[in-house]
Amino acid sequence: MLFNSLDFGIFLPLVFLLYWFVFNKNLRVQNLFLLIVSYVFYGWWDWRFLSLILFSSVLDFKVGQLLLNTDKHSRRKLLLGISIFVNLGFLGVFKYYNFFADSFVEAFQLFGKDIAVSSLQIILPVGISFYTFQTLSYTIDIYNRKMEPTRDWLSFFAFVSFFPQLVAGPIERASNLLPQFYKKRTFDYHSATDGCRQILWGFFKKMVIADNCATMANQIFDNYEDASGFSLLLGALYFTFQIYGDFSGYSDIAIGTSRLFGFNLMRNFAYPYFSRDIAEFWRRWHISLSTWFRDYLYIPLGGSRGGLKIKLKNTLIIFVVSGFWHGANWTFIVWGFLNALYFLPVMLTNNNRNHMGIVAEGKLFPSLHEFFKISTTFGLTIIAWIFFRSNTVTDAILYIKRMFTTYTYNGADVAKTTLLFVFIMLTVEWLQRDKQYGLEDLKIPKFTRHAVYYVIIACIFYFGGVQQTFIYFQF
Amino acid sequence: MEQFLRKILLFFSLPLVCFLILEWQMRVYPNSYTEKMENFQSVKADISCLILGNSHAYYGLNPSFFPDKTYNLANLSQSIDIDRLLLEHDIAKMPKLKRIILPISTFSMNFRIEDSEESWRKYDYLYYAGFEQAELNIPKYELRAKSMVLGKGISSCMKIMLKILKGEDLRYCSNLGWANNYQGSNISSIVANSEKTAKRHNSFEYSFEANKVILEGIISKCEERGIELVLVNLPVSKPYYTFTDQEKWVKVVAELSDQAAENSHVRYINWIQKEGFGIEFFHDPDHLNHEGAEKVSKLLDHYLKQ
Repeated sequence: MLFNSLDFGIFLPLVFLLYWFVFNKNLRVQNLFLLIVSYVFYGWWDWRFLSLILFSSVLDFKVGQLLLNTDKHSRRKLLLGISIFVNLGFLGVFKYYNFFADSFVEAFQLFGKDIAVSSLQIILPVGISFYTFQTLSYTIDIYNRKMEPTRDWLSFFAFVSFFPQLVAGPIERASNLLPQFYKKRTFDYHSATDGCRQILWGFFKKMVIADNCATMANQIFDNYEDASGFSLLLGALYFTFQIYGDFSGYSDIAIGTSRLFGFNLMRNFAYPYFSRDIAEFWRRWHISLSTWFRDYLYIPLGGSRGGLKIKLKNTLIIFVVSGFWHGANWTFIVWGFLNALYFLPVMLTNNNRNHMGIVAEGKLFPSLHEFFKISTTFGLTIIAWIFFRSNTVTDAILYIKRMFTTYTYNGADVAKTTLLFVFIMLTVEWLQRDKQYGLEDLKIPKFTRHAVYYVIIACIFYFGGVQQTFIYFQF
Repeated sequence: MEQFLRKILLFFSLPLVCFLILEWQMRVYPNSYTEKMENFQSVKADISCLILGNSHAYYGLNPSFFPDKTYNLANLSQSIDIDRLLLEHDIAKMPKLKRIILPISTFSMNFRIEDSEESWRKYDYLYYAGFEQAELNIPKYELRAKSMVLGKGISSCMKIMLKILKGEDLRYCSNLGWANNYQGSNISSIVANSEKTAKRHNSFEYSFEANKVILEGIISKCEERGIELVLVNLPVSKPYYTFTDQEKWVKVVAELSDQAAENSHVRYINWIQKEGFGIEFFHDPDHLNHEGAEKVSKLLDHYLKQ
């Protein structure tokens, strides 16, 4: 079920009312209800893939139990290995099999040998990368004795499949979300109204910004061979805001929806396009994934401890794996590699923790120096997004080459209304950059605030672009 | 909780009232569909020639220039499965019908309204043409089938509402079903937009074979009733034609030629690049303007009389 669909528009209020009025007497019944509606939500796409979630849940719950009952290191290691192998095995088969098969064939062709490896007609289960990482965090944390395994299967199954964040995150840690299923939830008026505001802002970013930018970006990227440098620059810009609006919009809707049900999810975006260097960008973009890789890959590999060589190796690994997590295509790997190249100079000069606070805090405008840094980081990000969006690495290189070598102005590619909305979004988020999301705690009179909400709703319906699925669903 | 629900209900009451007003206006305000279907119902018993097809036919063939009693039942993005449904619905109520003109565009055989970004238009056939939900592959409990605003899309309806508020007449068709709002020609715009339009049309990928079956259904229906079927490729501007997917187009021409060769009641006319249709006869890359529609309608009438 898509958030931006009529189905969800009916599903959410119905589930909300049943959750608080019918199933609120008993915690286990409420959790069971959440589990059922989460499965309905996911099964709306393709019920067959529910078996994968169910299997992952059973496996990791069982592994957690077995880890509790053993102190023998080799056995614990084996159990963790089984969990990682099976979970990543699913991911490998469904997401990466064809990529590896094709790359294998191409590699042999380079040496003049033709081999036949059959491709599989596989549909990628929606959100597989998200819930796989979520369940993996549970078993790894138990293995590392950072948390106790749960004995409550219902809470665990509900944690794995919790519908607001099931298909595109935030990728929650068991240590944060799971305990919330143990405690009786009480309705909190302020949290719920705040959740509604966050949902509204999420829909604005998704339907007004992302969907309109998508139309333009698709048009330009699909015909980049014939487009001028100016149009290509615009195309890259449209995609830059499309992916931000799409993914951060989804996260806002997910976090806001969770709050309606008494849950608090982790923040996933913190105004990444206002970052002053690439290290700050990665602390602000898809935070739940970046911190996942930091905790479960970077630190176990040795992190930044050790010599220069280890630092370099670990940084490259984490970025390339992060790229590969996004999809089975060389474009994502190059995107990850490029970000590593951006990041390395900052890290090697020990400047990667320079910008931990809010940019231009307490000021209306950034200083010239800050503005220059923000613009440079933004420019580098745009270049990287071209690889992310292109169909092949060659396409991306040609796109960039053309962008810098042809200079005809094409007014048809200037979508004024879309750009105006992008400007509005950036302005609102700049003014609210010390808050969790764009509409949080607006310091304006009540009447004006309500008028703003109505205008946003009208914009969503009037200017909302052609309905597009969320980009991150494919990951 | 009560406070929250009360405030939410209060907050959403304004959008709800707006929604209801929108729904009411969509149902009562006359538009091209209501006009077209109402006129058709009143004249169908006397029609001897019926024009079907998509916007190329809707804008391009003006029944006023056909001396026989002709009605244009073509519409925007009307794919041939809808043409067949329209025919099946009303063919028995058109006792005088002797000829059907079915313009086929370069993309018609790879297009189906249901799979296009204009799929919402299929709801117009539900509301105005009296089709059943099942005929349009709309599930029984689909909410959009019950509400015009949800079916057409809230955004489209809000845009229509703004026109209503300005007092605009939304009936863009003549009493014989021809769309009469494509006047004039903007040559520079045609040249600039041809590639984009053609590429969009080239991207349609609906099954050629499935549409062939539908076309054969129309052909046999006409044969049963002793009706002549004229398959015609209406002119498109040269810049647009240049960017047409030639592989797909050759396949279309071959298919239509075969059908005409195999069925004595089928005629095929390929005027896609008919001489004398310069860019000034087009409103946009692929649609004829008033002058173009007049010219091609007269030519076609003359040709069919030979």
